[in-house]
Amino acid sequence: MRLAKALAFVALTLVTLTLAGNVVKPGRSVFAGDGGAAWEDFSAEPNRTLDVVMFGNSHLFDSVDPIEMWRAEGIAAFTHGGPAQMLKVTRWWVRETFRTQRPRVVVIEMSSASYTDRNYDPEHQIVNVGYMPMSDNRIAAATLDTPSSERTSALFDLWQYHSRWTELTRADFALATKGRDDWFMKGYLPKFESRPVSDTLVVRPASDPFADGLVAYNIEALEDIVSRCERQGTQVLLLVTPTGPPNIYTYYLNNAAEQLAADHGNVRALDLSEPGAVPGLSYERDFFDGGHVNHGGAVKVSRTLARYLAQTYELPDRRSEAGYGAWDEAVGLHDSYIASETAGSAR
Amino acid sequence: MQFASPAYLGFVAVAVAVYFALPWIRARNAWLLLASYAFYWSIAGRWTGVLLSVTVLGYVFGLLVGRAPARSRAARAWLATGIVLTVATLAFFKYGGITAGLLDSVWELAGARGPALELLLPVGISFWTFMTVGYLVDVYRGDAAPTRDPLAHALFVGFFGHVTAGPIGRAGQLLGQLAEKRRFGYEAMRTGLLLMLLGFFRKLVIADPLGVVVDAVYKDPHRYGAQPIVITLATLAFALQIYFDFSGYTDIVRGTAKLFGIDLLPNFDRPYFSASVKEFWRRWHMSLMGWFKDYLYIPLGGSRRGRLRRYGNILIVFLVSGVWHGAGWTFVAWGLLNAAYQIAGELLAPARDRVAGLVGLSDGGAVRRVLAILTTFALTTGAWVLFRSETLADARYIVGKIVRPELTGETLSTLLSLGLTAEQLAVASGAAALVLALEALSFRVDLGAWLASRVLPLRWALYQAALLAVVIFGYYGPVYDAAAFAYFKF
Repeated sequence: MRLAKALAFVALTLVTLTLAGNVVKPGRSVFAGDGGAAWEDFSAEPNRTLDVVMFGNSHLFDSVDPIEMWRAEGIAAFTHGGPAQMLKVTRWWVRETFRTQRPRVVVIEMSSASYTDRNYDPEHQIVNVGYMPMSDNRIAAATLDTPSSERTSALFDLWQYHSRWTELTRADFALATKGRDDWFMKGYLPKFESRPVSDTLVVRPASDPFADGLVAYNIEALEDIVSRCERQGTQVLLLVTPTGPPNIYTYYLNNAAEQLAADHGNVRALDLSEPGAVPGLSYERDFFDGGHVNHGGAVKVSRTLARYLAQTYELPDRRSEAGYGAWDEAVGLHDSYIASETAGSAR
Repeated sequence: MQFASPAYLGFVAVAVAVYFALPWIRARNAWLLLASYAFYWSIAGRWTGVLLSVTVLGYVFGLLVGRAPARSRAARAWLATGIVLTVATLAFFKYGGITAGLLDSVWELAGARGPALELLLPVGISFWTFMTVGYLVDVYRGDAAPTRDPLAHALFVGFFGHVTAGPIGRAGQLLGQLAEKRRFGYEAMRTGLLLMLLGFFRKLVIADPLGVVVDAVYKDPHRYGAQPIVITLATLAFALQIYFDFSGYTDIVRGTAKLFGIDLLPNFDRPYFSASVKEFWRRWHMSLMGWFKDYLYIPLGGSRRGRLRRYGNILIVFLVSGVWHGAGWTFVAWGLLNAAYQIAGELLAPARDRVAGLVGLSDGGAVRRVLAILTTFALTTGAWVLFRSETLADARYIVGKIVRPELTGETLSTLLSLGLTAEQLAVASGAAALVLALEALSFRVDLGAWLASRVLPLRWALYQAALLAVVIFGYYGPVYDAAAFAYFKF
């Protein structure tokens, strides 16, 4: 009897602390400018309905709009990126993704292949790990791939966010809908400003030992991702999104693709930073900054990527299928949001 | 490893689980000792060797004192040697700056250059050296048998529950407990966890936020000279901070020890409700003051050698107490001031009674008691100025501002510029007021019995509310600069 009471109290305490953590932890929302780590939206996707899940950093979630991919080819996709996400964290995201989805294609945005510990940012790490659902994968990401200084923050939401108690609003207590008001954006964060960028090709030597070192740092994580996808019967597309100047990350893409394709039959590479790879892309109007396209550019990138995926992997067009009705609603909400933001930018 | 961290809670959970899974008392003590040294190592690193050395010293000399005929010349010689070596260890590390300076002078005189002396104060050294001295004296007096079990002695000195900042345990009280095989008890768990929760509340919700205000003002008091009320409030905040910090630590470690079925000595008994400074020192840091009474005051003659000698003994005890707290004139002055308070209090007692009689305040009446409590609080808080100030000059400046407080239009904005938001200040102050109100109530109501007699859902709701208060309002985590416990530096 005493043991039962003790266990009940422990359970109650865990529930209390979990709820408290969920209240103080801020929801991530495109409307607040939060890019990536959209696990709340991803978790709301019906199981085993996504054909394409894309991983990477802001180069991904600013450049690829799943609604445009749906509109172009009827592909059910999700832009599952994280801010400045390192590939050693991405591998845990991929594992966690396979818990609820069986994508036919996993896309990895490869600018992250140039990241090493020099690029490590504690705040981004806490977001990338801390917003994962609590699971063995989150625990592994926190204990194996997070420095001890951020480990507690990555594992315990209360530890990281309890100080927000002075800023809490009613929305923080609406746990059922918290962080899901932007579900129809499917992880995409549009940028509406425009800056001209350079269109002069970056030319690298045939051999770049420094860049080789960066790829070597990341190859283990990429191997892990590719192997896991191979076991699941999932294809892997290594992708580079447009940059200004072009081809900044092409070396990393090609280097990694060559190494991985030598041992795995499920790997392809697609360089959209090559001039002309995205039809109609303007270096005057379609960029937010040198590394990221704006919404105008993202529309073109998304359509190009969708066409490539549909043709290369023979992905089904889901637009008339039962079970995908929510996508029509998502398209409507997405277009309304884009229209309102575009009108606001024009003013 | 900080006490206020998930790592500490995880460590305690594992330590308790393994402890009760082991069938034999010897295995349990070995495990507890291993855990204690691992804990200490995580805080002090290589200085763990000093703890080990003092432990061995106490064990060996305890046996030597115990083997010699009771109260013989040999026993006294061993006792004196053991005490000198132990106190010398404390003095060497605690007053290391002075020691290093002296050593440099010696090398200079010899025309040579000595090795650079890098000394850090091993955490808790003031506490476990005092425990060791107390143990040796108890063995000499026959109040405790010398322990032949090195494991038990090492655990007595180095138990992680008290190794960092006490309470200063007694051999008679603790060694017997360590020799017993205790069964796992739900009641002990409940009591221990509740004590820990209360401790974290005192430390994280009250002491640490108030410490932000205190640090800002006391680091540069001249900056706030135009806001005397701010200096006054910061001083008041320090009186609360030091109490809730140290009493919070004591609750946490006593609660931790309770999980293992071990009872450590209490350190505080509602000190801010004392009606005299003498009473205050019976209720504040009780394990240290009890140690001074038994091992210094009474051997000096206590109150048995006349009034003047007694006053001299009080001065000596509080001078030593001041020096024990730190190698600085402010601590010496603080100690002597507290001694002066007690002596003056006694000398002025007849005059006080006459004045009280004249204004109609009866002895033992509520009004007189409240006035006495407020006066005692004011006197001890005034003394805390010396304790907290970085220099005597700063202390003098601060006291000058406190006695001439002026409220200005910028007081509130200045208060809110010290590092806390209005909400944080309100929560810390409100929590302090709540705890003090409960302490006042506890003189009339047994709060523990009251709580135990409530229905289960209400008890659980109160526990969850207290837990939520700590995890939400607590001053911890990456955003805040977590403060170490104040008494870790002594």
